Amino acid sequence: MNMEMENLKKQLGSQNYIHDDELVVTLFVSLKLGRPLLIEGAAGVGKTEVAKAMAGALERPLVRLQCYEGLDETKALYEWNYQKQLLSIQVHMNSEQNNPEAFTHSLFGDEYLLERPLLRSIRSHEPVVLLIDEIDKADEEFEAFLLELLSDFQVSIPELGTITAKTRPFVVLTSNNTRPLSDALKRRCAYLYIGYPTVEKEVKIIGARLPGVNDALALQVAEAVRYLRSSEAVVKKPSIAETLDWISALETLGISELDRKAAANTIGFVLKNNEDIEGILDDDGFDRLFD
Amino acid sequence: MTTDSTGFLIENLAQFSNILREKGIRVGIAETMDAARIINILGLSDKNAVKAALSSLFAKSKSEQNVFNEAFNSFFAGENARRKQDEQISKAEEEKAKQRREAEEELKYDGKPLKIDEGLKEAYANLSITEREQLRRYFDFSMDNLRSSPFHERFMQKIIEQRVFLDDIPAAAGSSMAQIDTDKLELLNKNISDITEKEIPHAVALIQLLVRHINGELSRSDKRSGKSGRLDFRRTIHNSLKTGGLFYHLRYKKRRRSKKRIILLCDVSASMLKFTQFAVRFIQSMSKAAERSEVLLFSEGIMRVNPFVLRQMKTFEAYVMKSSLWGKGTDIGRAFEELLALRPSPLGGTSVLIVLSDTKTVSTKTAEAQLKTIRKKVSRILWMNPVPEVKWVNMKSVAAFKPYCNMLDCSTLKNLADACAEIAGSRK
Repeated sequence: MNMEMENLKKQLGSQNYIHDDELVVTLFVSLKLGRPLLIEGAAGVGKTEVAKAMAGALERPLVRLQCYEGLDETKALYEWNYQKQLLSIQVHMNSEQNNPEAFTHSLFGDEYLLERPLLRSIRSHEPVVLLIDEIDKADEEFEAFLLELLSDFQVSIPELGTITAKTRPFVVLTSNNTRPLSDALKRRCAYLYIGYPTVEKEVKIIGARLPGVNDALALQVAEAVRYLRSSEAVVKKPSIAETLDWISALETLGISELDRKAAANTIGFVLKNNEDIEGILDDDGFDRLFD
Repeated sequence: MTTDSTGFLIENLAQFSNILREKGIRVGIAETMDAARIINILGLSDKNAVKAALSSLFAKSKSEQNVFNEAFNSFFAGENARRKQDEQISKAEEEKAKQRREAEEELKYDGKPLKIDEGLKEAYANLSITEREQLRRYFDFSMDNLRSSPFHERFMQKIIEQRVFLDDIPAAAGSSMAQIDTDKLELLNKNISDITEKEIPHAVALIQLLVRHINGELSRSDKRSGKSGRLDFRRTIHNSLKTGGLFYHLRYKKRRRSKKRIILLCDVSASMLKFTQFAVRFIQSMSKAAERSEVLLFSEGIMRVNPFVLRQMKTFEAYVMKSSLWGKGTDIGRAFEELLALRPSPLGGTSVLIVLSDTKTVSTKTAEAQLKTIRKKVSRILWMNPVPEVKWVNMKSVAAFKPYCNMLDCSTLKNLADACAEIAGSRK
């Protein structure tokens, strides 16, 4: 393996992030080519965690933009501090100094600018990791607006002109695939799909996140969760975080072996709706896990 | 890397990009150039790393990754692997020929081999021994009646098709999804009840295309209508500061989307099952319409349905056939009555009721009375009718129900898609 890539792998390992080679290669490609990385996958498979791990591995600050329906430039890029501008105008009107041109100019300076995550990430003196989380929840208008930023790493602010990135952020976009993203956005990104982890990988994740946990219990829980994810009776598939919650609950209750009774008593930590719980408790296949 | 090897690599990558384009993946020059850059950095010693790197640049969805993997494995296969692939292909061909010969031996009519499609012979040979015996017994049993019919071969072919494709639907749908032919578009205007089992996979692929189109259209219409609404005083005043307090740019509030609840009431009597399968699949596939929906099945009574069974046509069919509703007549009036009695009631001012039914029922009068009551409780009723509109003039039930609902002709996939677009649009 390439030395730089080997180094990246070590750095990710130091963040307690369990990874496979494909993930490391994709991160490396994205980093080397300066392309944003688009990560797709079901909810709870660890997409956001990739950005956090990269921030730790590259020793860069993480700037996060959480997307939602109706998100616009004022929340994502910048906004003028109107209250402060208004106060300044009033103070200026009462003062004896009178240079209106210079004053008007000063009203649109850094002092009155409220930086939002996107602007902060490109004006930062040190390179950052920019996480644009759940981009599929944002409107298509916002997605189109992002294109300028992601291709040229610059944004246009009418009062200030074009602002080009001082340092290039490492951009991670995540999507739960609730709506298809535009081809234009996808074309600008490197792509990674993360599926649910295998039993072995999930055991490793449990070990890394909950050090000291009983190995046999970790394996049993990972196998049970794998079954829950594959079962048609479960509509909302459990995430990795829910696996960790479940095992923490079992440990807190002093349970060292997952049997039918223990699973039934604590299933609420891993399945979060009643239909799923009832469906799985009536499922013979689930019972057979404890034979 | 030397200049020669770089040239060779770029030539290979360009060829590979072309193959991906032929397979439906959109690959631009920028991606090919980036691929060359990254291979220069990574080298070619680690095949898996090269594959992962190229995949991240070329494939932009899970399905594209599958296509990419297949293309990569065959394009960059070594000499041995390529020979192995060739061997596998010729072995598979031999196997298919053997299956066809076996089928010809077994399917004889009056001592002569039956003339049926080659593909069907292979499919027949893939059935289990018991299933093949069942089919042959059925043919022997019907032989006396068939002997005098000039269409006996067509009849037998039809029977085998039905048996074979009953098992094959999901697999066939998956494989044909990526490569739908344009000539299959004639399915669009075909009556849904005339769609054969063999055409179902293509119809399903077509549904995916239509759904994508409808979703795209709806997003665009959202965008257009998003700016209208009442004046936003706060933002207008804020923005007026830029123009010295003059209200130069008026800012408007975005219309809030009222989240409507969709209740699907689906007729699953034998004559309606195929239509319901298609329609439910359409409605569920549309992310915008399926955000908040509840599906209820009915024949004589009604039954709430678990959403996961709606994902695949086969699962849905099995679910319906196992249910207490299967094999019963259609009593729309009783179904409406039970819908009104449901607690907690799904009906309300923000609900849109969609009825999938051909309006045929045991008592039109009762159904009409109940529909009138329901109309007062919901914001809208849409009736998706698989019977073509030209035939509605002769149907008393249609005349009885029409005043209380918007009845849509859904006899073809195209009409069904248009109706679904209307449903999704009605959410706003």
